[in-house]
Amino acid sequence: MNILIASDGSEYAREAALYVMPFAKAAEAEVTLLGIVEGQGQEEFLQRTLEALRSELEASCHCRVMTRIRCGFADDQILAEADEHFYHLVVIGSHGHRRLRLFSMGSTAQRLARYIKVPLLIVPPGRRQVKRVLICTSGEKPGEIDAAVGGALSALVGAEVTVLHVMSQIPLGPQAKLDDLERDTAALIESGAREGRHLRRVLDILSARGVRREWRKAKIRRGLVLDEILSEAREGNYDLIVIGAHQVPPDKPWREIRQFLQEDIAGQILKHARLPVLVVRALDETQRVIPAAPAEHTNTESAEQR
Amino acid sequence: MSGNPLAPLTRVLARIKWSKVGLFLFSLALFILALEFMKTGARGLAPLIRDLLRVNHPLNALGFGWLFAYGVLSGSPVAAASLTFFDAGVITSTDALAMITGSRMGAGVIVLMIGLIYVLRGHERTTSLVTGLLALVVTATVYLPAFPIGYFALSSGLLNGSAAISQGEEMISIIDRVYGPLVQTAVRFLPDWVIFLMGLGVIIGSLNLFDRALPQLTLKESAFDEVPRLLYRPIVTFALGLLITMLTMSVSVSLGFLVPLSARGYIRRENLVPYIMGCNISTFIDTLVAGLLLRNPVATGIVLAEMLSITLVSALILLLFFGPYERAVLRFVVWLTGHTGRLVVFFVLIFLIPVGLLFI
Repeated sequence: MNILIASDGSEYAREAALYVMPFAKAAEAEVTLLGIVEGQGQEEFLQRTLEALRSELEASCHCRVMTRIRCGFADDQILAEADEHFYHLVVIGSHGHRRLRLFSMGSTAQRLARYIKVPLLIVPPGRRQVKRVLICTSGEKPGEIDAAVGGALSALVGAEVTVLHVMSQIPLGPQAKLDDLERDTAALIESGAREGRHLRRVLDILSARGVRREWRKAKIRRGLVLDEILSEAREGNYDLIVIGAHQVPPDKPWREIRQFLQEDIAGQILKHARLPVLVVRALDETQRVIPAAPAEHTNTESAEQR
Repeated sequence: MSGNPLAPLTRVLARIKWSKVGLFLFSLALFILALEFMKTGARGLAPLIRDLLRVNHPLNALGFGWLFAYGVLSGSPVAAASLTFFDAGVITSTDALAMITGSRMGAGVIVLMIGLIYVLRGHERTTSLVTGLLALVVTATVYLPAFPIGYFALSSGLLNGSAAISQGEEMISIIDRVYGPLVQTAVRFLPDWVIFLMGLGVIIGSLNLFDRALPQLTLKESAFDEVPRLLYRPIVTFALGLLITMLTMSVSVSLGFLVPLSARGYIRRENLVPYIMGCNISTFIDTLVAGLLLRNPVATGIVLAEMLSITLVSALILLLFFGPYERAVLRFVVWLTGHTGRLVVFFVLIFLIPVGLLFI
């Protein structure tokens, strides 16, 4: 597994890097620490900070950590790095160094979430362990990719996984099938309704990625999508939210207009959630899926922790 | 090798359903006839409205329009009727504005009736009634605050400039020549109030025919999932509701237009509230046409006052506090449907309130 951690030398970036170390350790990952310099005279400071962080990370995860420095705007450089080299995961802190002001949640993280093709993990300060993961799925095919990525990460650290689907639909008229809107989660899965079939597939995907049966479950909520996701995240005491981000395929007509109109739940969650968020945007489902953990690192390790 | 330059036009013409075009033109002709009847017969109802029902100020005009819409199961004929009453001097301009507002409140209940049928058939009330209640609550929370704004605009003369609308003298003389003999014949043999009721019946029929003339929207299966995502932004869905209802001129028909957007007859909550807000503005297009056909610039000004005030309130909500508004409306509707007692009280109130207003 290849992980890219972007750093501006701030304490927030350090916390984000440490947050992802349990995943890196379990996956025996190769980690690249990318420092980005926007202005003159900052390179030396950044180089020193990166070296210190590299030592800390290597001691923490016992895996190889490389450093690299690029010059330019943060989001452009991260996108370029992710395009030029193959990564399974990109990690950034949600906030940046006050002096350097590289990463502010409203700009860099939002822009990256919109354009990066690699799963992007955004970590706010003050987060360390991942024990409970919330994977949000819209009930469509891309939700399976979200589950594959989120499930693989969760299995690495033995986290419990809840797959959440929010049914925000209400009936329009006499032709509406009301039953599907009224069933609870288990009944929906049993009934073979579209959402139920999707949840069953997602649970199977989690199983294939190494999440044990007793640590995975599906849940349905009803209401506004964003509100229900944020409520679930608060009430369920989760440590990580996994959300897919829609992207319009390049061959679609009126692509720019569709992109503008496109629903942006991921962007809304980044604005309002106080948790780490993993944004999964994959047009090609065969790439970027995090490899399953080596067998000895899956949920058995978490069983010892519990 | 030269292609037929008329081929693209021929292809377009071949795709047009001429029967629907004919139906549309016929419904338009009936609409004009209905207005002529109602305009002629409205004066005959003055004793009923002014003396018996005492519709003489905005509050009881609001109740009157509301109840009238219940009676005819539609808001548009009542809105048109309010303009004919004003034109005949039966009610004032501000009373007509209130009556139009009341007609929209009454019309909102009709959408609710569809869900009520499902409740009576034993379905879970929450899912059956939510759409209709949502439509009614959105209408009420926009129209009622808009009313004082429209009232102020109308009574302060701000819209008087709009009275200088070209009256289209040629069109009016055509209408007089075509419909004049029919109206004169009716006047000769029937009392005014019967002519009015005849006009009311014809306008209801014309609007039904118009609904049938509307094109049927169909979507490929693959689009069912994509369209709700593309209609995510409230301002976009608001614009869609506004545009669709310019064609349909009916909120309930516009809601039906959303049906093809979902394979199973659902709509996402996020798509519905702004859509209804857009529908609530352009639903007055037919009333605006009625105002123009009455050749009464103040009648046109009444409709403009209504549309502009609703547009202003809608814009303020959309731009400043749409999120809290949407949540509050949805929360209220869910609360309402959570208990049978609350629903019963609500239904009783939406009938008692207009009755109470009528007798103020």
